[in-house]
Order: sequence, then C-alpha cells, then structure tokens
Amino acid sequence: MHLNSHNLINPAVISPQDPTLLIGSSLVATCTVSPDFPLKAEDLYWTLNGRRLPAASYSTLGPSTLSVALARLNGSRQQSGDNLVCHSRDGGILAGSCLYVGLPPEKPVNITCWSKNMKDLTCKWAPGTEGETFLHTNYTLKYKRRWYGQDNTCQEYHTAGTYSCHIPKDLALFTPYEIWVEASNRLGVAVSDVVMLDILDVVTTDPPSDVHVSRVGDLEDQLSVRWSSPPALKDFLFQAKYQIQYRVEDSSEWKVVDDVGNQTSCRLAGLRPGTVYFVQVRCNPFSIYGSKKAGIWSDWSNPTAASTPRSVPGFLTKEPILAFPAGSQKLLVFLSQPSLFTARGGC
Amino acid sequence: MAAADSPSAALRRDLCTRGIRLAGKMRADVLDLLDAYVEQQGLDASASVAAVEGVPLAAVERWDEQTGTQRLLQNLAAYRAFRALLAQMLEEQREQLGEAEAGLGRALAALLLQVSAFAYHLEELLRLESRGVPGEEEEEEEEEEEEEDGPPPSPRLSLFEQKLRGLGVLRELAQWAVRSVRDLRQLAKPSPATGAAPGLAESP
Repeated sequence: MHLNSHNLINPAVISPQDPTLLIGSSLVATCTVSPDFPLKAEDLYWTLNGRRLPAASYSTLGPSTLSVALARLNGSRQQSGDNLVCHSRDGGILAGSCLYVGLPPEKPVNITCWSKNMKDLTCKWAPGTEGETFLHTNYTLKYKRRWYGQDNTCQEYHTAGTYSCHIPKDLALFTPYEIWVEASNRLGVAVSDVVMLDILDVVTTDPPSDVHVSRVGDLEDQLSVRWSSPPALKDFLFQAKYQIQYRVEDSSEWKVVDDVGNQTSCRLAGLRPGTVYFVQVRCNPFSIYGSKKAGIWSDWSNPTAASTPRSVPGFLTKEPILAFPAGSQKLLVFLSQPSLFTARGGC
Repeated sequence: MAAADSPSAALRRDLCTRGIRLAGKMRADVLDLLDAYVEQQGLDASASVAAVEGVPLAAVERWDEQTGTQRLLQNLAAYRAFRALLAQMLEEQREQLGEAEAGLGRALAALLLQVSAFAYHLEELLRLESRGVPGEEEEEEEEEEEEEDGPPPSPRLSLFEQKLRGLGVLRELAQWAVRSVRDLRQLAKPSPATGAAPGLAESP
C-alpha cells in the first residue's frame, strides 16, 4: 500500500501535521487509519527519518489509531524537517508528518559594511553566538536613512559569503544610514543592534590595475614599482595610502612594505640578483570629503612579475667554479654569495 | 533511400540526434538531482510512492506499435506537465527553504530549463512532421494559454506529501528521459514508404 495522491482518500492521517517544536520538547503523535481501509492499530508501525521507532513507545488509542511518544527531541536532521511516517505492516507509507525541531534564531552580530567606490554597499554579519538553529532561518538586511528615511530591504544575498547582502544602487551620500539584520524562523524572530554608518566612512576601491615593475638600471638588488591612483575615485576629494607586498617565485611568504604612504611609486631594495619577484599593490582611500575614519584596504592587485639583473662580478665568488672551453674562448661560471643580499622593505 | 536523403529527412534525423543527446543529459542530471533530493528531504531512496496526480507515467503498453506522431504528442504532453510540476517544486522549495538551499534550487531550476528546452525540441519535430496535419495550431494555442495561466492550481498538500510528490516527479521524469531516447531513436529511423509506424507521417 502506498501513499495516495490528494485526489484520493488518504489511507491514514497523522496528528499533529508538520508541527514546529523546541529542542528537548516531547511529542505524542497519532496515526488514524481511514475507515475505508481494513487496517487495525496493531498492523501499524512508525519510523522517524527512516528508522523504526520501538514498539514500547506506541499506544493503541482505538481500533485503528496508534500513537507514538517522542521524548527530548533533538534538532531536526535536515532543514526540510524530520520525517515521521506511519506505515502498514508491509512497509507501505500510510501518512507522514514533518517535524521541525530547533531553536529560535539569535540576534545577528558583527555587522560590517563597505562601499566599493561609493557606488554600492555590501554588508556581512554573523548569525549569533551559537549559530545553528536546525531550522531554515531567513536573514533580512534592512536599512534606512537616519531621521527621515523609510525602511528598505536588501535584495541581493550571499554575494560576499553566506551571511551577506549587496545594495547595488540608490544610496545617498552625506547622510548617515541605520542598518540592521532581522533573523526569522518557525520559532521566532531576532533583530540585531542597529549599526549607524556614513557611506563616506566605509569606502574601499578597486585594486590598482596598472602595476608596473621594472629594473633600476643595472642595480641587481633593486626593482622599481609604479602604479596609478584609483580611477574610480578621481572625481572625489580623498587621500590614498598604499601597501606593497612581494615574494620570490619559489616562496609563498610575502614581505609587506607598509610605509609607502601616498606615493604611487616605490623602489624595492635588498633583493636577490637574478631572481624573479612577484609584486602586488593595494590601496586604502581615506579622508573622503574629510571623513575621519581609517578607510578600508582594497584587494591586492594581480601579481606582477619581474626579475632582478644577474650579479655583476664584484659580487661574485672570487674564483670560477666551472670553466668550459667554448671554441677558442673559455666560459667561466661564478656563483653569487646569497648572504650579501638581504631584502629590505621601504621606498 | 531517396526520402531519407531529402532535406526534411536530414533535418528530422538531426533533430532526433540532438534530442537524444538532450534526453541523455537530462536523464543523468535527474539521477544526480534525485540523490541530492532524497538526502536533503531525509527520504528513503527506495520509498514506494504511488502514482501522483498530474505526473504522467512513462509506462506504456504496445510501445512498438505507436506512430511517430503519437510518440511526439505523448512526449510533448509529458514534458509540458513536468515543466509545470518542476516549477511548482521550485516554488515550494523557495517557500520552505528560501534561497539558502541554493544547490538544490539551482539544480531544480537547471532541470526545469532542460525540460523546457526538450519540450521546445519536440515541438520543432512536430512542426516538421505535421505540415498539413490538423490540430497543430490548436495545440500551439493551447500551449500559449497554458503558459499564460501557469500551472493549474492544485489543493494544498501537507509538507510530507510535497516531499513524496517531488520524489515521484523526479523518478518518473528519469523514466521518461529513457523512454524519450528510445522514442527518438525510433523516429530517427528512415520512414517506410507507407509512412506508417514507427516513422513520422509521410511528407506530401
């Protein structure tokens, strides 16, 4: 016997149907077979998520009604609900009920927002201290202009991680915003604290896209790095500071030069001769229209590679370590002394 | 062989070949989605689900006696029904789990697109066949009405019944994908001179 479609008489009914319960609570559910079906209570059994429940938890409440008692329920195994199913003796499904067992949402915390080039706003948050509610929990980011604005609801979720939302347009400058997150599920609603911010205080920009790395004449321990200030902010009054990081080709460890200031070029010194370096630059636009906030670093630019010139003889071993006759000439090979070259940060 | 080499025969063969590929891909995707669906809904993969209202059954008697037109019309009716059923599943999925269950929702949406594309493909085959066949325009009109009206309203199912219906829909769609491959292989065979089954109706 199988569960029939809704146009037919259901063979049985489970009560309660699709209940929502707190973790740790108990439930007594009943399965009542329709009079049209020749099944008795003793012909029935229960499963929860496919596992047969022990007969000791059953009670016969009538000739064709069997109950089951579930104590101290755990959080639902899947957000679509635990499946409590009443079966006939042959395993057929007579009826089912979805149990939603979980916790009400907690107040979302740690709301942080940033605006790319003052054109949009992205915010992310954490779902509360515990996080797991075992139930589908919906998060809604809301915002309004302080004092006289009306509530707006962010529409583009998961753009910067699970708990994030992107507001692409229609944001005003020179006015503070109130931003908050509402969490809701079948067991309740929780609202975060309101965060107050001015778009000008949370601006970040694109990473510098035109980073050029070149040699400094024949200086074998130096490279010159040049870039442009962010074009997207060219019409705005702001200051920018930059950072550079670089590494040798065969290492994953970056060295950071963080005293570049607002220059758009820098000379890296103390590098190893004849070595390929990867260089990245990032920008922090701050003090936009006089904002007092620290600004937010952009992502790092894509790595730009360049190699330092090979060593000049003065820095080589005094004696050649190999010599090959090449026709009438000799090719001499010298090794450089790596200890002489220690990378230095600074511009 | 002259008929088989005609432009319409070549086009028909080409449409059948592409349809077979579409159905094969759809079958593989439905099976993947079935695995994900069963896990997400906490269902037993072997749970027996009886015929659900509105879900067209792939099982057919005297399959090898069907004409090409019958095959196409039955396929088209089935995939139009699946289009409505999948759209309903997608809507219920969003209602229940929001956009958070993006993986399953995306897979359902992708399958819905495949089903729509396959239905369109079948319409192309029918158009190719039915020059002068009465009823084609009426069918298109009916289809337009159906698209405007959306899926027919159905009584609200309990959440558990929705889960089982989804399982039934995906299982039957997987069966239909196999049947469609076989139907299209039959259709791709050169028509006998009489235009009788299994090929398409003879061109004038």
